[in-house]
Order: sequence, then structure tokens, then C-alpha cells
Amino acid sequence: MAVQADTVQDLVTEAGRRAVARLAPDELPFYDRVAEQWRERSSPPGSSVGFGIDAAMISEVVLQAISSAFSEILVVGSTAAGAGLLRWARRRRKREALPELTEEHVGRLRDACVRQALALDLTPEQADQLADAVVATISDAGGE
Amino acid sequence: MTRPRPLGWLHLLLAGVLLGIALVAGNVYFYGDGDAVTRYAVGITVCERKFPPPYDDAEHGYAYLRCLARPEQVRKDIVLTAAVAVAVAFGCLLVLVPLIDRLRLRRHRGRYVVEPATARFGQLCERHGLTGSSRPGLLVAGPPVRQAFTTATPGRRPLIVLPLAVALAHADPGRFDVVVEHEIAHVRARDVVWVNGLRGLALLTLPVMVAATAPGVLNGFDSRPGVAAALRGLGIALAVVPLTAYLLRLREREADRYVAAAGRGAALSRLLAQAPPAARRPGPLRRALARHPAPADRLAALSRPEASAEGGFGHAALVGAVAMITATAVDDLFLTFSRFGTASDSRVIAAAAASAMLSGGLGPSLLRRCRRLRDAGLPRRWWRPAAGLATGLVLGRYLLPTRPTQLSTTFLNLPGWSGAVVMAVLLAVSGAVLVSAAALLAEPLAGLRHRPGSGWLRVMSLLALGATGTGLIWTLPVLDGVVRNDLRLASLAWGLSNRPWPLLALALPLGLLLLVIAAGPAGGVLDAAARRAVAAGSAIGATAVVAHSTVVRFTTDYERWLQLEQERAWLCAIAGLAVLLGVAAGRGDASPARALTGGALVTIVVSAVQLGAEIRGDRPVRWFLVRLTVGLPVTWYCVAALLLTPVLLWWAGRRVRVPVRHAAAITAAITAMAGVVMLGPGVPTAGPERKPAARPGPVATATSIPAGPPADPGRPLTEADLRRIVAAAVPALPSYWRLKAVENTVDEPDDTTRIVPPECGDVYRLAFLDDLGVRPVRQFRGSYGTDVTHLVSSSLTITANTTAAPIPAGAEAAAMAGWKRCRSFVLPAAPPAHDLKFRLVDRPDPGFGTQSWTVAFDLSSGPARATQVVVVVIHGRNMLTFQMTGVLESVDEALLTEAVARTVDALSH
Repeated sequence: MAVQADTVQDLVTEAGRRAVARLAPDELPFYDRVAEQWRERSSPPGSSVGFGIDAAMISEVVLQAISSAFSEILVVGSTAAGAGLLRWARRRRKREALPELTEEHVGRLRDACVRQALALDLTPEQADQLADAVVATISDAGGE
Repeated sequence: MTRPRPLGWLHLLLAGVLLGIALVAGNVYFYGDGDAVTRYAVGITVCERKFPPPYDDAEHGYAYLRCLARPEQVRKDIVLTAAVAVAVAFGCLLVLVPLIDRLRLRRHRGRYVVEPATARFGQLCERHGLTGSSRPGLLVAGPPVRQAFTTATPGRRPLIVLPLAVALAHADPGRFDVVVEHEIAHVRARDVVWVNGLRGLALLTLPVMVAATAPGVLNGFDSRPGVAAALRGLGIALAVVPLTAYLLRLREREADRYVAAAGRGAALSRLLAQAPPAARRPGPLRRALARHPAPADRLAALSRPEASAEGGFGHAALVGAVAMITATAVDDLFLTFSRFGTASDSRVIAAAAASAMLSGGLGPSLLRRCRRLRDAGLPRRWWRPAAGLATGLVLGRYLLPTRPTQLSTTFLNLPGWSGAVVMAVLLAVSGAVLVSAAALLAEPLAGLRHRPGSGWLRVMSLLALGATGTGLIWTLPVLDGVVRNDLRLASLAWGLSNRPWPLLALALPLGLLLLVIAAGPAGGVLDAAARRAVAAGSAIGATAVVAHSTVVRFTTDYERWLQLEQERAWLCAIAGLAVLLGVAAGRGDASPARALTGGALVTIVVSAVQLGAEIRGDRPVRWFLVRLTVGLPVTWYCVAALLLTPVLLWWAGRRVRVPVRHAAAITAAITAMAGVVMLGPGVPTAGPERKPAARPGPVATATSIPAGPPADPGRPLTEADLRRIVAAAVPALPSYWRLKAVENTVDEPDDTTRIVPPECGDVYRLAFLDDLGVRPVRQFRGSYGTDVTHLVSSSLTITANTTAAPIPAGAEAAAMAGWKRCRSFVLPAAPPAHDLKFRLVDRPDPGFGTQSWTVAFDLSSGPARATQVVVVVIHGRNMLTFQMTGVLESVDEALLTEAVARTVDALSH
């Protein structure tokens, strides 16, 4: 399937948006800014005097799960969405091009999404919804 | 709503550690500067020789101290620079840490606006009284911020940072309100700015110590004190890590407690319970270094407050260590910066600083611990904080820097292992005693917490604990001095009575009396049993004192007079202690309080009776008399009563009841024993004062030169002759020289056999005389040396030999021939010691005896330099060798010449 998207990052971001719309619609107004900052993330300030319990947004979890799933399937690097300092340096040189996805790739990607989402403490229902959102995003991109 | 505890006293511990680090860094840097250490040591040596001990004459002592001011200036400048540098660096931390926070958060500013969350935040601030200028700012931050936290720049409003996920949960009080109120607790504690210092302190201390150590490492640390100071400094710098971690954890728990008090304890517990469990429970070390308590620990602290670690072993150990670091740092600071001669009171300032740390850092925590366990109906287990404090005091003492010379009066500064063990025991006992005193105060306070004025009572009790601690800690160096001075107990009469500080321990019985009064009519000041015991004790004590006062008379024998005063003081104190034990055996929770109070009153009354007897007699009324007659017994009572407090506590805790008849029997037995000891053979005080090992003392042998016609200097000498001849040089030595040893050394193994090349070793130790048939039959050696620092010193060794036959005439020629071949040689040493290198310097013949010669050497061992002059004089069957060495100073040739002349002269008598 020839997917019509500029980069893996774009595809992950779009799939994440679709999943967040289903799982946490109240976060949708902030999604673009969260996705942008999530890609540029570094160590958080004030962690030594923080509340002591992480409060992560669904948007972050979704992005992390989809990114890890793409990385697992496409083996394009540590994170498909290009998070982290090393990835930031690489991204400056060249944005990751999206390889061609076969039906087998899509099936494996769906399984990987479910697995990663469950590992990040999403419920099985949320994991299924997230995986469906990713598949739908790929289908839409391939159909255009 | 009650403001959270600000942990101010615990932050004061931080100030103590910082002070310690500054002084250690300064000292380490100083020791690393070889030139500065040498100048310092030489300066000290000059003063000690110019104004030698003893310092009985005050003017002489002050002149000595004024002389020390000049060399001290070198160290003072360096230490001051280090202190200023550490203070500035800490100030920078307070500003930089929040500044970095704000810089890293600038991309979040205004990016996420969640109006309902802002509104709810405002409501919560109002609910907690944070309005107007005291209201903190709010910043909603996106990834990567996942935890709420609070930061504050000095002089500006604190800023609470909330993750976007929390802000979006504004409608859920169980998520939003709990988190915000936890952060509000930090704001209300008013310690956010100081916490910035805590966050970066470990980053500050290690570089400071590394920078201070660098010159020493580059120069090879010529002195052992330098290495010791560097290691101790590193220890303090590392100790900062668990200290800051503990304070940060305590702060989080306090904020949780505040949230629970605000009615959201259940919601907080639910939130903590939802936190994903750690894959593996961290070990004790990781838990000790964790800056945030684990959710499971926080949950346990909320659900089982009695299980809190506050006031436990670790807390007490931490406070004890920091208190001891502070005491030494304060004492060193005063000694360094006060005018010499006025620093004698620095001990009480150091003791007060340590006591303030202990009472402030531990007292309130012990009270809360007592309340928690009392509410839960659990045993207090006071041994845990007692053991912790004892451990902390000992550890803190041995993490501290020492000063380089014997002149040091640095707080609790002891040379050698035996002294260290003595002080460790004293410190451990003091820790246990102080926790026991705190426990005695805490138990009644815990029962009075809801009474009106209980806050005032808490403050008074804290002050009483602080005063008691000051008196006790001040006494430690005095007791230590007595122990190190061969248990010269008689000197305590002077040591304890010439300062009022031990009497501060009276604050404990007075504080307890206050609490007993506050307990109300049911408690009473003294119940009937106590009154009976006090009356009986007073009668017994007064009778004994009146009897004893007929014995005590002023005498010109100072030792005897001190002994009598000491015995009298003990008798008065024992009267009080008898009452203490009698009352403690009575019934009621407050019996330890009544016992201590009653005992103190009896001691004072009995001492006052004694004073009256003195005034009626032939003693002039002076303030010193009051201090000696009343102050000394009360001091002894305080010391003994404090030592008994753990027993009293245990007694009260076990609710041991001693029947009245048994209590009376015990009291009578103790009194009888005291009477026998005091009025019978007397207390075993020290015998006649032993003279110092070798004041110019051996000089006395100079008078033993027999009168009469001169004898043949080449005659065979007896052992007595040799001993007398070796001592004949002593009058030539200045008063700061000491006799090291006089010994028979015919078959003594000789280290110089290892000299390379070996033929030079033969020349150096006169082995070539063997080839001439010279066989010593008797040999005596006298060693003398200056008695100051190990850095600057001179020594003189005189060896007198008598041989089986007259020494042949070729000895001098053989020696000169040997030295022509040996211009330089080496005495090897195993690493890390340096080889000792000799380089010969030509010298003229001294012209003594039938044969004589002189050789001089420049010595070097690594960076150390010395000079040595060897003179050999031969008369018939006798040979004298003089070996004089100067380390970091030249050999005093005039002194050597006079010593040789006197010794050679002694050969003829």
C-alpha cells in the first residue's frame, strides 16, 4: 500500500489525533501543541521536588504507544516520531521518509499498537480503539 | 487551617553543614599549600619556644596567644575566603535553581490556558488563606512535565506548576484539589526558596571539596592533617546527600499531612494507591538517598502515622552528626577569628550551637513521636532515637577537621586512639542522656497538648532541653581532660566550678517542675511520699554535711584543699541523688519529674547550709566561695542526675514500683555508703602531681657533677658514669627541649645498615672502628628534642661509649678517609615513604679530645628538608658521638658546641 504521508512523524501525529478524539476528546484542543512538545521532550524540570506521582495525558500515552509500534514494525529508529535529543539531531538532517506499507505490515502494526498501549496501562478497550484509529489513519492515507 | 510545619530547624541543620564544609574546605586548601603550612608551623614553633608552657601566669599566657595571632593570620585568611566562597555559591544556588526552572518552563508560559482550572486554583488558594500578594502564581505545563511542583525565586511569589493532565482534571477534586493543596502546603510552609538550595546542594559541595583538595593533590599533601582534613571534608560533602534527601522526604510527608488535615486524606490515599507499583522494592540505600518518598511509604504514613520515621534512629543520627559538625565548626570559627586569649568561652558557644541543633532538630520530632505512639497505645521505644543520637554524635565528631598543632584547643579535639575511644563513649552516653531528658519532658507534654497554654509549655520545654544540652556538652571536654590527665578528679573542683555553664542542666528539673505544676492539682508539686522522701533526704544530707564541715578547713596544701572541696561537693550531691532515687520509686507517671526536682532542691538546700557554715567560720564571703560551695555540688548533682535519666525513664516506662520500705532501705544504704566513703578513708583522688616527663628537668643531673680534682677522661667508665655524662649536656638545652629517652644501647639493631652504598653505611655508623679493634663494652644514649609540632623540630642524640681497650690513634684518619669516598648516600625506604638522601658538607675539626671530627649533611626525603651535624670525640677508652638534626630549621650550632663542651667536660669528673 502506498501511503500518502510525508513522513512517519506526520502519520503518527495524525493517527494519535484520531485516537485522542476517541479516547480523550477534552484533550483535543491541546493536541497539536502537546504533540509538538512531546517530540521535543527532554528531562522535566523540578522532578526532585515534584508531587511524586506522574500525571500523563492520554495524548502523550497514545503518541508513545503509536510511535513505539511503528518503530517495532518498521525498525526505523528508536522512536518513529523522532523524539529525543539524538532523534532531534537526526531530524535536523533528514526527516524520516515513510516506507511502503503492505497489508501484512498493517496487521502487525495493529497488534503492536495494542501491545504497546496495554504496556502503557491503557485498558484493552482503549488499546483496541487506539489500534483501530491507527489502521483507519493508514487506510485513509493510502486511499487518497 | 494550621500552617504546615516549616521545618525551619531542620533547615538550620543545613546551615551547620554548610559552615562545616566551608571551614573544612578552607583547612584542606590550607594544608595543601606546602609553603603556607611551613610558614604556619614555623610561626607556631617560634611562639611556643618564646613563650613556653606552663601558662599559669595569665600575662605569660596572653603573650603567647598574642604571638600566635601572626601565624594564625595565614590560616585565617584562607578559611575566611573559603567561607565567603561557599556562602556566595549557596546564594547563587538559591537564585540559579529557580531561574533554570523558569527558563525551562518559558516555552510553556501562556501556551496552555485552562480557565476552569485557573478559577478552581484561585478558590483553593483563598480557602487556604493565600490571597493578594501571598497568592502563588500558576503555570500549566505540557510534556515533559508530568508532576506538579513549586518553585520560587527569592523576593518573588512562588509559582505552582501543574501538568496539563492535572489542569484538565479540574472538575475532579480527587485529582486536582489534592495535588494543588499539596503544593499549597509547600507555599504555606514558606520554605520553597530554601528548598532550591537543598536541590542543588550536592552539586555545590562536591566541586567545592574537589577544588579545595586540588592544590594538596598536586603538591602531594606534605602533612597527615591535610590528608585527614581532605577525607573528612569529602565525608561531610557526601553526608550532604542523605541529609538533603531526608529533608526533602520529610517535607513531602508534611505536605501530605497538611492535605489530610484539610479533609482530603482519603482522596490523597486513593491517588497514591493508584500509582503504579515499583517493579522492585528499592533497598535501604536507595530509600535513604531518595528525594521523594515512595507512594507506598506515603500511603503508610497517612494510614499509620505512628509508623513514621520522624524522631527515629535515622533522624536522630542525622541530627546528631550535624550538631557535632556544627559544634566543631563554630569552635574552630571562634578560635580562628576571635582575638587570641578571649576564645576560652568558645566552648560554651560551640556547645550552645550543638545543643540548639539537637533540641530544635530533634526535640519537636521526639514530642510528635511520643504523641503518635501514645495515641496508638504503643510503647515509645526511646532506645531507638537514643542509639541514633549516640551514633550520630560519634560519627559527626570523627568527620571533622583537626588543627595542625598541639596548641589546639579545638572542641573535642583528641590525639590518638585512646582519647578517641574515651570521647566516643562520652558522646554516646551524652546522646542517650539527652534523648532521655527529651523523653522525660515529652511524656507529660504529650498529655497536656489540648490544655490552654500548651504551646507556651512546649517552648519552655524546648528551651529547658537546649539549656540542659548546653551544660552537658560543655562538660564533655572537661571530663575528657580529666580522663586524659590520669583521672585527676581533684582538678574537677576547679574545672567545673570556675564556669557557670554546667549549672544550665538545672533547666531540666526546673522544666519538669513546670510541667508537673501545669498538670494541675491532681499532679501536685510533690505528693506526700515525695515530701516524706525530701524531708528524710534533707535531714540525712544536712546531718552529714554538718558533720563533714567540721573536717573541711582551708589549707595551704592546694591538692588537699581541692580534694576536701570535691568530697564535700559529692556529699551534697549524693544527698540530692538519694532523694531522687527515693522519689523516683514512688507512684505516679510524673515521678521522674518529681524525683529530679526534689533531688535538685535538696542539693541546693544542703549546699546552702554548708555555705552558711562557711560564712559563720573564718572564710571571707566571696562570689567564688558561693560558686564553689553551692555551684559545685549542684553541678555534680546535674551531671549524676543526667546520667541517671535513662534509668529513670526505663523505670517509669516499666512502671516498676518499689515498696516504700525498700526505697527507704536503698536510700539509707546509699547514704551510709557515701558517709563511709567520705568520712572514712576518703575518696581516691589523684596522688601527688606527676611532673611532666622531661621539663628542663633532667637538668638536675648537672648538679650531680662531683667536686674534686679532674679525673682521666680516657679511663674506663661505669654505667653510672655514662648515664651522668649523657645527661651533662642538658643545662645547655633551652626549656622547650625535652628528654626523649636515656637507654643502654650496646646491642641495639641499627637501621643504618641499609644505607646504599654499604661502605658509606659503615662510615656513617663508625663500623670502620671494628677493623681497628675497637669493642664497646658499655654504651648509653640520651635523646633530646624540641616538643612542638611534627613539622618543625630539632633533636640531639648523645651516645657515650667505653671500650675494652684505648681507641687507636688512626680512628680520625680512617673516618676522614671514609668521608672522602662518601660524599652522598641513601637510606632506602619502602613506598610510599621517601628515601632519605644524605649529602656531605665539609666542616672543620671541633678540636675536642685526643681525636675528634665533625661531619655535616643536608638531608632530603621527598619534599622534606633537614640538616644534620655529627660530632665524634675520642678520649682514651671513651668515645662520644653527638648527632643533632634540624627539620625545617637549621641546626643550632652554638647550642651543639655548648652541649659537646659540657659533655666532654663531664668526662673529666
